[in-house]
Formats: sequence, C-alpha cells, structure tokens
Amino acid sequence: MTTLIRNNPSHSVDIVDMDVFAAPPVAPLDMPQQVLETPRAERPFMTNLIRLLVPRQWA
Amino acid sequence: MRRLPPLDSRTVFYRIATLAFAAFAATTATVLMVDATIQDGVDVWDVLRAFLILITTAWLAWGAAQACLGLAARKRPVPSPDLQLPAPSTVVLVPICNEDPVSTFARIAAMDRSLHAANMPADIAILSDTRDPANAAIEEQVYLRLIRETNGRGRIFYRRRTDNRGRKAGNIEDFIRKSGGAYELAVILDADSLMEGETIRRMVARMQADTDIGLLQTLPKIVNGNSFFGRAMQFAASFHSPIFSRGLARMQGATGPFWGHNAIIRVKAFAESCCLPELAGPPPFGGHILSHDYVEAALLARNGWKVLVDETIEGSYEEGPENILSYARRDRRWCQGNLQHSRLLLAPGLAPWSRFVFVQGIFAYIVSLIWACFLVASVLATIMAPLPDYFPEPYQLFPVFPDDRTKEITALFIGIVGLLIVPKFLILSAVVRSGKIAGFGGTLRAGLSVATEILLSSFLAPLMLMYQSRAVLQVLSGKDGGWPANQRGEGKLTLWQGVGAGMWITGSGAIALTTVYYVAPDLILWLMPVCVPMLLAPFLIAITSRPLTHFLFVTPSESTSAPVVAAYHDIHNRWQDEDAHGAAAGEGKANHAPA
Repeated sequence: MTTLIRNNPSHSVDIVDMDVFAAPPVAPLDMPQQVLETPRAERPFMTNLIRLLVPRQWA
Repeated sequence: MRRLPPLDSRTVFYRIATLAFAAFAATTATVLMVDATIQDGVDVWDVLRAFLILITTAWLAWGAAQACLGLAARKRPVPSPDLQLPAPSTVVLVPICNEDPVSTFARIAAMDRSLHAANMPADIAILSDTRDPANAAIEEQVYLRLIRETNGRGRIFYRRRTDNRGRKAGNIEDFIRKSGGAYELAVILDADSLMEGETIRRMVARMQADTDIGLLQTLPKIVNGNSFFGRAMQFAASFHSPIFSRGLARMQGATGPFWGHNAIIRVKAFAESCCLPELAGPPPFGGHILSHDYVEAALLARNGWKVLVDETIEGSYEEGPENILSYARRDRRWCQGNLQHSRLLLAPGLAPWSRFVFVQGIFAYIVSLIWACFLVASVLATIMAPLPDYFPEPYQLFPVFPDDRTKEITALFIGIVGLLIVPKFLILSAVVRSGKIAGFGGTLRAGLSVATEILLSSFLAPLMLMYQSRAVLQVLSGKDGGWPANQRGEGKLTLWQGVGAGMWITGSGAIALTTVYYVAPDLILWLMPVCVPMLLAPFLIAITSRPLTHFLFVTPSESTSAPVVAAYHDIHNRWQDEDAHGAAAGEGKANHAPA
C-alpha cells in the first residue's frame, strides 16, 4: 500500500491512503490469450514452405 | 461466432482502382528505366535497377492514389447519432511512462473540465508504468492536486504497476483484466493526447448506436508545435492527413487502423480479442509485440468487430516530435515493431486486408533501404557499363552512336517527383474549394506553407532515408532498440548536437559524392538532391529544431484556439506559476513512505 504523508498549512500531518481512493474499481474481466502463431504440425503446407524459405528468426 | 459484414462493391472498387494505378505507374517507370539502361546491352545491374524502381514507384504511387481517393468529399454524411441516456459506462485511459507529471496531469484536468462542460459522464484512469521512484512520487503529488482541483475523488483514478510486462499494451491489458468489467467503453489516450469532452460524447454515441463497432479511431491533430520541424509536421497533419485518411477509410472497409491512442474501444470486444501473446525468441523479432496497435486492430476484425477510422471527428489532439532526432528515435521503435509483423503475416484467421496492412507497415520502412540500394546500383551500373562500341560490324564505314536516353530518365525523374508533390497541390486546391483555407491563414499563407513543407521534406528525405535504412539494418541484424521514453516539449538542438547525431550521414554523403566524382562524374548532378542534404545533415538537424515564426504553418486549432488546448495551457501555466512562487507551500512537501 502506498501512502503520502503531507504537511498541511497547520503543520499537522495528513496521511492520505492513496490506495483507498486512487485505485480503479475492481471488476475483473477475462482476456483469453490470442493465437497468432500456429504450432508447426497444424500449419498448412504453404505456411511451412514459406517458413522454410525465409530465415528462421524472421518468420 | 461474429463475422465482419461482406465488403461492399464500392470498397472493392476503391481497392482495385488504387492497386491498378500503383501497378500502372510502376510498370511505366520500369519500362522507361529498362528502355534507358539496355542501350549497351543487358546486365545484372539493369535487371536489379528495373526491379528496384518497380517496387519503389509502386509504393509512391500507392500513397499518391490514396491521397487522390480522399480528395472527393464524402457523399454520405458520417453517422452522428445523439447520446441516449443512460450513457454507457465509459473510462478514459491515460497510460503514462516517465512523462512530465505536471504537463500530463494538467491535460487530464483540462479534459475533465471539458467532459463536464459536454455533460459527458466518464471516469479517468491514469495507468502509470513509471519506473523511477522519484518521478513516481511526483506523479502522486500532482495526482492529489488534480483530485483536489477537479473534485475527482472516486472518478479519477491513479495506479502504478511495478512490473511493466507488455509495456503500453500490457498496461492497458492489466487495467482491463482488473477493472474492465466496470466499463462498456474506453477511450485510449497517450500521455500527450487531448480530447474535447464533446468529441468523446460524440464517439460514445456512435459506439452506442452501432454495437458492431469494436474500435473507432480519430485522426488526432498535432498541437503545440514550436520548432520549424514541429510546426511543419503539425501543418501536414492538419492539412494533408485528413485527405490521406479519407482515402484510407474508403479502401479499408471495416478493417481499419488503430494508431494506439485517441480512439475509443468496446471493452468487451477488446478483452475477448486483444490479449497479445509474447512471441517466441528474443527481440527484435521475438518478445513483446512492439507495434501492438496494428495487431489489435487486426484481431478485432478477426473476431468480427468493425474497426473504423473517422477523419471528420474534430477535437482530437496530440503533440509531435520537435526535432528530427526525436522523430528518428520514435521511428526506430516503429520500424522494429513493423518488421516484427513479418512473423504475423500468416497468423490464422486474419482478414486479407489486415495482412496487407502488415505488409504496408513493413514496406514503409524497407522502402528506404530499397531506395538506397537503387542509388548504389545506379552508380555501380555506370561504373560497370562496357565502353560504347561505335563499330559493332566488321568493315563498318560510319560509326554508330548510342541513342541519347536523357529524355526517358528525365521523364522518370519528373514522374517520381510528381507522385510526391502533385497530391499535395491537389490537396491545396481541394482545401481552397472547401472553404476551409481561412483556418490555415488564407490561400497565400497556406500556399507558402505547402511549398515550404515540400522544400523541407525534400531536404530531410535523404536524412530520413539514412536513419530508416540504418534502423532496418539494425533490426535485420538482430539489434533490439527497446522502448526509449518519449521526449516531449522543447527540443532545440545546438549545432554541436547536430554534428554528433548527423556526422555519420555527412561522412556517408561525402564518400558517395567523392566516389561518384572520380568514377562516374556524369551522375554527379543526378545525385546532388540526395548528397547535398546529406552533407548538410548537422546543420539541417540543428536549424529545423529552432523556433519558427508563426506566419507559416498556421492550422485551424491554432488560429481559433481549441477550448481543451486553451484550458490545458491555462492550468499548466497556473500550476507552474504556483510551484515557482511557492504558492503550493501550504500543501507542504510530500514524503513518499511505505505504509
């Protein structure tokens, strides 16, 4: 938890708990990870062929 | 499963027409080049040059066609529905990382004021990825000031990640995972973005009316440009970009772009489509996806959500780089991100246009290297050319002189320059006819600004070519550029700094010119437009970073100060004054301590 300790004009100290009012509301939402590269065995023939023709780190 | 609506015939026509024009221009250029170069027989350099000119001209013609496509005004008005109450729950996301807190939070205060004025209820979440604890402590202090001024408690949020996984995309993903369920829509901004409350209201209403839209991108206008370079970019973004964007919008259909900020997303669509994996292997081609926005747009379209760009939405602003070095630094990151997309070209299920957009992004950078190769090949071809044979037949009485092909080369040169310049003058003519020229200072000043911008781009093009070629070579050789912090604000550079950053370009230009002078003096004149700016690189870098008179490059947001921009300046100046004069002393010093 983060707090800010501030001196106010009356020289007393405010302890402001940032996490109490600064944190966004808690309302979880699922984010399934997207598939951008298919495993080698499932790739179409042409995809594998193209990957063979270009350097490995580029494809 | 959702599916995008089928392409309408108009979009198909625009795509075919643009491709046909690019193919026609590229073929014409190649024919002229071949005609001029095969006089002394065909060798490998002629074939290489023909191939390179085919690619580069196709790229230029593609851009020119896009501008021409955007010249015609929209016949069908853009939908502009009213916001229905209750308004969808909306949050404005401001991801920041090592930014100037006073400027960033002053922008948020200005937008909050504008949202109130527009009667648009929305939360604001500042998503900090700042690593420096001292800077983070200042962020917290300025946040408290923001809360006090705006009475934003419970409405304006601030949180800082200690783990910067996934950088900006990971920052937004983290928010959606933890808080996304509370919101239907989210406006994604950058630290230097500004948006009018009325603009956000209009975008929310549009998303509310068409529930198939997953993302709506605005065309942000650049503001607060001060240097020669910054103001030229600001002018181009206001003057030329809307026409280019309209052309782009016509071609893309529902598979539009996402430029990473100044856009609104449907949170549910984004959550179900846009969690990006880390690519296998080390950077620059593996690791986190750097240019995440293009990929997110493609993934939204893959899941059947419409991704649209609307250049008619006003009131959307950002700041731009103030000098060439800041621009080149940002470009280095974009270059690496776009080349990384080569791994995603065959990603399963993407719309063909999304794949094409990846190819375009890759081309935007490798085309510089292709131009450089073309210049080198032209010089080598001249050196390697066989000596003319005036008596090809035995016992020939009269010599045969090779045909003069200067006309063909001149035509090619004029054609290429035309592809670069003509669209800009066509846009000038369109803006004059539309009656919007007054916002740019009237016809004379706008004409002068266009001419100056063309001149400046011509001088800077060889420098950009060198920076981009270097960036491409660095990425291809496996060098990771990382994600350096953006440098905003004043970027005035000394001549000495220009020398430090541009001497390698000057050296390259000097070597090229000296070599050509000795081995192919006929080419000197042709190479002057490239080599002279290279020789002047340090001077150009320094001089274009200097402040420029506001007579040139006037934009509408400047001539009729945009309310949210004016509010930002007011708040920013006041906060700076308060800090300077110790007016904030009453609030005391803030000590950062763990609880």
